[in-house]
Amino acid sequence: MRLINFRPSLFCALGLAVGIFCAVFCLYGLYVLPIVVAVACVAYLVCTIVFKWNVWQFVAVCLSVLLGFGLLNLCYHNQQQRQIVAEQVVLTGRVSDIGRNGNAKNVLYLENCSTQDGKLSGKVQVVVFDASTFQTGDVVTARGTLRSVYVFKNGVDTSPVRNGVRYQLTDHEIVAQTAGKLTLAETVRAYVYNVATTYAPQHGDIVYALLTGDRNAMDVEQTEAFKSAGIIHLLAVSGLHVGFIVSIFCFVLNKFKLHPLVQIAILIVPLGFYAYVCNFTPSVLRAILMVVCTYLAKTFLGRYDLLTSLSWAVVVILLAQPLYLFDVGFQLSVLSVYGIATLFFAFQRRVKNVKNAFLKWLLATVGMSACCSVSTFFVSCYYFGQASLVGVLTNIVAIPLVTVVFVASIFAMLPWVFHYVLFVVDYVLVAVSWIANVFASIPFSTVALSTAVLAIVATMVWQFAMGGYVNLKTRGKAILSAVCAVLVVLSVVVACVPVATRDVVTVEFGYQDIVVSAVSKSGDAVVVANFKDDFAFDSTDKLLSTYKVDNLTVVVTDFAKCNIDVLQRYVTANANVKVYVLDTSGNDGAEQMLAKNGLTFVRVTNNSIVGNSVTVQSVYNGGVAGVVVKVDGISVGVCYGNKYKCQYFVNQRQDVDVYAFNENFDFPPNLVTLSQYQAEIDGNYGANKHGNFTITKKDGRIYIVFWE
Amino acid sequence: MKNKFLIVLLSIVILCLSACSPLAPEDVGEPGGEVLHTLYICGAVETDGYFQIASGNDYFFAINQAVLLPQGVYPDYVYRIVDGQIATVIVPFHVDGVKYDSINVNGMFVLARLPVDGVDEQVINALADYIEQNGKISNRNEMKLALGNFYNDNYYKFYVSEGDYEID
Repeated sequence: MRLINFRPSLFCALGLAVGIFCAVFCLYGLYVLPIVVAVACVAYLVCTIVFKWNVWQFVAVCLSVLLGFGLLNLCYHNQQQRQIVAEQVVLTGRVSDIGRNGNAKNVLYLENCSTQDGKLSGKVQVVVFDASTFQTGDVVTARGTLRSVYVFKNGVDTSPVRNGVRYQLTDHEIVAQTAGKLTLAETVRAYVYNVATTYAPQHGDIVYALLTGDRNAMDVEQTEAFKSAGIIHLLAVSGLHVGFIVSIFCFVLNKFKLHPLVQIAILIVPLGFYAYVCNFTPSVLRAILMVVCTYLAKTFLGRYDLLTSLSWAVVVILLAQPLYLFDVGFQLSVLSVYGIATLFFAFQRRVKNVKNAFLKWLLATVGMSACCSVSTFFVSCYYFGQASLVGVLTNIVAIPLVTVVFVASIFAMLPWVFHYVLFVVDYVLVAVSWIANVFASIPFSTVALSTAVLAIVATMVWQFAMGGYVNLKTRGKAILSAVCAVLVVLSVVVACVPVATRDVVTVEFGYQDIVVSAVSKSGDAVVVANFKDDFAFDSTDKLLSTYKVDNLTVVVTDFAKCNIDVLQRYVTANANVKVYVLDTSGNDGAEQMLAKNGLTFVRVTNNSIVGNSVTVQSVYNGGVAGVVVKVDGISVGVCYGNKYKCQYFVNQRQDVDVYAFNENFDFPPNLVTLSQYQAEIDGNYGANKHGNFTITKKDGRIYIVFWE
Repeated sequence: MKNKFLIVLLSIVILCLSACSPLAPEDVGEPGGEVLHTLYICGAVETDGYFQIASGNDYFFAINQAVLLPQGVYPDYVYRIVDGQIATVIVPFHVDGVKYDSINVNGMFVLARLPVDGVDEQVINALADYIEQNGKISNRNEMKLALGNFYNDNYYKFYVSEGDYEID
């Protein structure tokens, strides 16, 4: 008997995914995974020869790995080919409706863009001061600096891929704006939004999100409540929603007793249109491809396997866009179905003899929800540092209600009196929202937990074995479960327990801030920032949570303008905190907050050095021109001023190894400079291209690391 | 044989991989360490002469290396960081709270015996006489010889310019 019930498509999908992961690791010079995979392939080859396994399976898996590797490299190559570092342009483009329905965000996504040099592929992102003055469909002409939006930064950033954004326009001025027409998808989305908000005044935003997957109209608190209650997946258009649509159409089509091929041909039209309305998000694509695979499998093979159809859907999506592998939504969507195909089916086999219909339904609902939760638990922990614990319970109530709401909302989109169905829907959604809020408010509704990728892999392997795809006896299963459990625990321990510190500096560019954080071997940490931008502390958070920090020094460069909440986060993060203020401005609120936390701040006199193993020194030129942070021979200088202040800073501090500037100027080419935007100068590294920077020392040399 | 084959295969894979790592950690060189600026500090300080000051320190720190005399006054640019643009620091002095600039001991005021604020006429004459007889004063010891009894009360009011300075 074979050990594994081999699913060629599953292993091809896995091979493709592994190849893509390997390629990304190679791009960043991390060779552990590629070497492990290469060794595994060699071992597989040896086993194939020795045990006379199927050679074609080996060939298929290895080719999938190579294909994934090649495709990802092709993506990177394409990005490099169309790279625009900084180009002065007059750009004309049409305002798409991304981030427009509901809360108008101050970011415009222009499509069909052209400049004086020709047409641009993809969308262009433009940050504007007042977004409410722009309508979807407007044709906007702007003059500014065109730059590429980079995907390969700090790993892979899939948000531009999702929205099809390839460029951004900065330092711009709008020179013309004329009204334009909406596309078909935009017209549909606008119609759905208008009908939903008119006829469901309390929760029209949820109806709109439920039907289109666009959560832009929902307020943050509501979204957070859905997340904490573990039902946010209901608002991401995926299998559940596509399943409803398929059920509705199948109900009608089955009456005509059509051939499955004809059925799928008819079904593809509304499903394709729905995917078009939902902007072809990875989760809806996955769901639709799975439906198609299911029908084709039923037609040609006479049987249907969820895991196989999931694998084919994954293969098709990754072949079309390998970067979707790094999309959290795609990962959650795929793993949920994986959980159903493995754990839930095994669970169903055990409870198939239950006679009571209600109990059967209850077991199925709870089981499915629990299996999806188990399957996605560590992905959630890995990306968000937390996962919902009450999701299984919430889903029991929420899924039936949302099913009703979804079907009713679709009918409510029909014209005339059908709209009034939304009045009822609104009340049901009040209940759903209340449930979400109640469950979210339960203490321990979510668990804050970090984990390593190994936990996700171990869980997947365990699910595969428990799902009956590995021919193991009870003892074998117990051993495998124990091994997987140990790996999971290890992953959590490795991720959660702070490790011994090393000398390292991180630099992160925010919208209005440059945050420099440093830790030393002796356990001292320093965070230097003006504490204005709440979103500029990712590296700092990671650094402080990864390393065992004994003493934390918070250095504020602009006391008057610092955000008290952000500052509070850091002054309460450690038992031994010192607060230094480098400038002479005042901030009553911050002083009160510090006093409340039993802290007093110290104003540092001009140019004096503070700190022990990590030192901070301000450089003055009428005000704070910059700060130099030093740790074990690594010195990083950060300058907050305009280009004149930056030049002054460089003249003053020629001993600095790496400079960080918030404004681009003609950086001297012999310097190593970090800036908000990439410049075409040797030795310059832009945050828009590389993300956050980690600066470390190895064998007496300094390295800038782009992804760890 | 098999092991050798595996090692060769792995080496090829590693070589191929290392050739395509455009985002690998970037080596930006050795730590710069300290950049030293040489300053000539003179005037109302205890020890005049050349001082090596590490980049990042300001003139306040530099003057304190030469030790400011009680009669000395910090210059206006004292909190500016040493950057090599001001390579000579002439520390002024005060008499009864009134600040005066230090005088070049070999300069025009002394040679032409001109009246100088804060300095007695006899002191100027003593220095001028010494220079006429012995040539330029090149350090504090020569100044001591030139001033004689006036030295303790007046040496901080004068400085030897960098061009004339010679270590005793």
